Amino acid sequence: MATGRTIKKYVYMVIEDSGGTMRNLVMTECPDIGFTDDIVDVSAISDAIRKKFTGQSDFSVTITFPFSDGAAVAASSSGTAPAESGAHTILSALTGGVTAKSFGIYFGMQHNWTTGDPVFGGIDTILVSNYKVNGTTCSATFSYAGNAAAALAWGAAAITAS
Amino acid sequence: MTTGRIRGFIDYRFYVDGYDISGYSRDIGEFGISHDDAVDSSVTKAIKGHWIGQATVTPGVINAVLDDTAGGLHASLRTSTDRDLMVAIGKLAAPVDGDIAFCGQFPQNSYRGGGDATGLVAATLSLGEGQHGASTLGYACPFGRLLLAHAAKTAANSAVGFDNYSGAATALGGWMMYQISAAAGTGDITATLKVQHAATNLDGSFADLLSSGVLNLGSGGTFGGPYSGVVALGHTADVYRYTRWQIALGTATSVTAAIAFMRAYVVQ
Repeated sequence: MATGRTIKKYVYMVIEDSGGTMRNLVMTECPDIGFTDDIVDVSAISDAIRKKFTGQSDFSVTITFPFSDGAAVAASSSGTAPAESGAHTILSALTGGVTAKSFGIYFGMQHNWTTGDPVFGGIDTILVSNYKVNGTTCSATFSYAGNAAAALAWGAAAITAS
Repeated sequence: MTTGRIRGFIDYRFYVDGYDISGYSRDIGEFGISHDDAVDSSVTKAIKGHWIGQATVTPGVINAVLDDTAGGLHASLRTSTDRDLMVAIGKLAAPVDGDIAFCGQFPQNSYRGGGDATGLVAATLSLGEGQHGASTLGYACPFGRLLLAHAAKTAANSAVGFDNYSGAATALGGWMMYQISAAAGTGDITATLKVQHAATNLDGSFADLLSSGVLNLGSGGTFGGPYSGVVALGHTADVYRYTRWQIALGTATSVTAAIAFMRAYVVQ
């Protein structure tokens, strides 16, 4: 397993489909993934410099995919290229659902993602709130679910279905 | 039917209130569904939680050309009223049975003519978000299967149907939209358009799921349309795994129509 830097070619997404099976989705751009944290300003006017705390975290991201109704296929295993399932096939059946789904963004380090490479995600953690089509692409918004079973986090292990 | 990535607007087709406006349309703006996002930031949560709220379906703006041909977009759709929209999306070809459909009942916001950068006099047809106020549809699932790509049909369908995205039966209902641009017959022209479903994908296994009821499409052998409409199931209705289109011709000898079925995959 290589460590160090990488390129977006080796970044892809996994998500649990409506039937509870993990699928790979490929994206048109590498999304900015991670938490956005509240910053709480606790400054007093007499402070020489403003003082701030980190507050609650939030996660919501909109990702764009090739608009495809390709068949749902088995997700790839560690060390192999993503096996693309059609984004429309998977996401149009998830949008608006209230059951939290497993989700992850895999960052392969100079090669196809391998166990031990960075992952951001979690089991039973996200909802799909928006799904839009724009010509040859489609986009969806993924947010941390109010009824999530676990926390989203950075890790290095594959994300599994519930 | 092929599956996979989409080539672009060249493989899109547009139907509004039974009119096939594909020959006048150039592209469509972003369309789809979004939900209100209720944020749960209770103090014990390390990560704010999000809850799915009310849905809004966005139909996009159809960019077209101003053409006053009888029966065309300008002649037929320049007055704002409630509209039935169907967008059919093919892959590397014009849409065929089994391709993707986007459908809804929307209020028309505007119809405008004006020049574009090339000098062509263009037209834009803008439909508003949500469902129009008179619609009783009650479904927030605008994406479905184009069971019948726009074509003239002169006989019942004995072909097999199409699988759905979950690969299993569902029990959350769904709805059909039909768009009829022409019909022929002698005397009154009647026909019934249907969606059928089956647990196994064999011709003899299909049973009626949704029906338009008997439509009177003209009299004296003259087509009286175009026509469009929707028919919905209850929100807990069982829908078998496979679906297909069907037609009962009645006194019609030919009906040119498109039919789509929007299966609900999540609770409405």
